[in-house]
Amino acid sequence: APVQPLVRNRKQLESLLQQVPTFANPQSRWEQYATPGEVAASWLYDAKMRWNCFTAEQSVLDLGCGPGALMTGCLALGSGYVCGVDIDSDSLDLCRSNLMELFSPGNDDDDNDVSANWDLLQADVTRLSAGLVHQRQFDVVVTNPPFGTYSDAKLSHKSNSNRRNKKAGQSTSSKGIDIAFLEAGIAASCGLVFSLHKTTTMPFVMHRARQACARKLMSNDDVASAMVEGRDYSVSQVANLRYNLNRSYNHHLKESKDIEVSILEVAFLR
Amino acid sequence: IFKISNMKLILHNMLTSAMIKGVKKGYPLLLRATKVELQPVEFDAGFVVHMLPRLDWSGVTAAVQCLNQLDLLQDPLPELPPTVPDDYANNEDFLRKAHIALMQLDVIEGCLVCPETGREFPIAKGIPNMLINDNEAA
Repeated sequence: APVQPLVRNRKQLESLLQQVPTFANPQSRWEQYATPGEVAASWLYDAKMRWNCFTAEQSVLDLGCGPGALMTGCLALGSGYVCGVDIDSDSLDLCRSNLMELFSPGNDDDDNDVSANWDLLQADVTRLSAGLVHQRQFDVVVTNPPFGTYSDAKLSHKSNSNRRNKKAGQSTSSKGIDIAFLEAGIAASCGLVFSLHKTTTMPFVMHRARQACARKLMSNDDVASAMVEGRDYSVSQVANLRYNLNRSYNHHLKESKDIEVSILEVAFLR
Repeated sequence: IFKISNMKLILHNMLTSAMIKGVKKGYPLLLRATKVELQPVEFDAGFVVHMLPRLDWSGVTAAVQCLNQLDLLQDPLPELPPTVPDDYANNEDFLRKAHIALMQLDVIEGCLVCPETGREFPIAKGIPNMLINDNEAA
C-alpha cells in the first residue's frame, strides 16, 4: 500500500511544522536560519497544490536541511523518500532527533500506518554536484540556502570559526553561496526546484537560475543538448513572504528583524 | 509505524568521491559497514519503478556484495541479477528484492571508501560524512 500522508490540509501541516524544534545556538559561521514552521508549511503546501508533488513515488532533496522543518513537511505530505544534506554535525544531530521524534508511533492520531523514508548526509552543498554520480536523481529539490551576506573580511574576524571552516573544508567567503545552493539543486533535480531568497536579490537569482538551466544536460546521457526556456524549463517567482530573524541570532542585530523573502520555482517541463 | 532511520543503499548509490583531486570516477564507494540492520519498510512498487531508471544498478549489486561478504546479517541478502530486467516494471519479484536492497537495509556504523585512493568517509549514527579538506578538493 502506498504511503499515507500524515497531514490532510494546510492547517495540519502548519501545526506540525511549528512544532519542529529549532537551533538553540544558531551558528553564524554557517548563517544558520531555520525555516519558520508557517513559512515552510505555506511554501510546501502551495507547491503540492500546484504540482501534485511530494507523492509516494517521488524523491526529494533538501539542501541545507538544518533542524529539518522542510524535510518534515515533505515527509508529512507523503513523499516516498527525502534526503537532507547539511554541513554541520550539530544540525544533523538535531534534525535526526526531530525526525525520529515526529514520526514515532505515539504521534499518529489516526493510527494509520505511516512510513517515512529518509536519509541524512553530511556534506558541503557547494561540492555536492561533484560528489553525486549522476545529475537529475531527485524529483524535487527544496532549499533555504544561507543568504550569502558575508565577505571574507567579515568572516576573518571570527578566528575560531575560520579554523573550523578550514577543517570542515568550506571556503571562508559565503558570498554567492545562495547561488551555489541553487545551482546544486538545479543539477540534482529532474523535476522541480524550490528555493528561498531575499526578495531584493530575486532578479539576479532568477537570471542565474536561467543560466544554470540553459547549461543543464537534457538527460544523464553524454550528449548534451541546450534547454530552451518555455519549452524545456520555466523559472518563476511564486511567493513573497515575510521572514522574521529572531533575536537569538544576534551577532550583528540588536533586535528582531523582518526581511522579505521570495520563493523561486524552477520546473523542468520535459 | 516509524522507527530510527540510518543510511540506506539508495543514498550509497548516489555518492562518489569524485570531489577529491585526482579521483577519476570514485564510484562505487566500497561499503565497509560494521553495523547494519534490516528494517521492515513497507514495499512500494511504484516508488521503486519510478526511481530505478535514475539509479546505477552496478552500485546496488556492488553494495550488496560488500555486505554479504562482511557477513553482518543473520541471513544473506537476496541475490540480485547483474542487470535490471527489461520487464522490471511488472516484475514484482525483482522489485521486491530491489526494494529490500535499496530501502530496508540500514547502515548504522562503518565507512565508505574511495575505490581509487582508499580515503575513508565515516558513517556514524547512520549519517555518512562526505566532507573533505580544502587541500583535497579538486
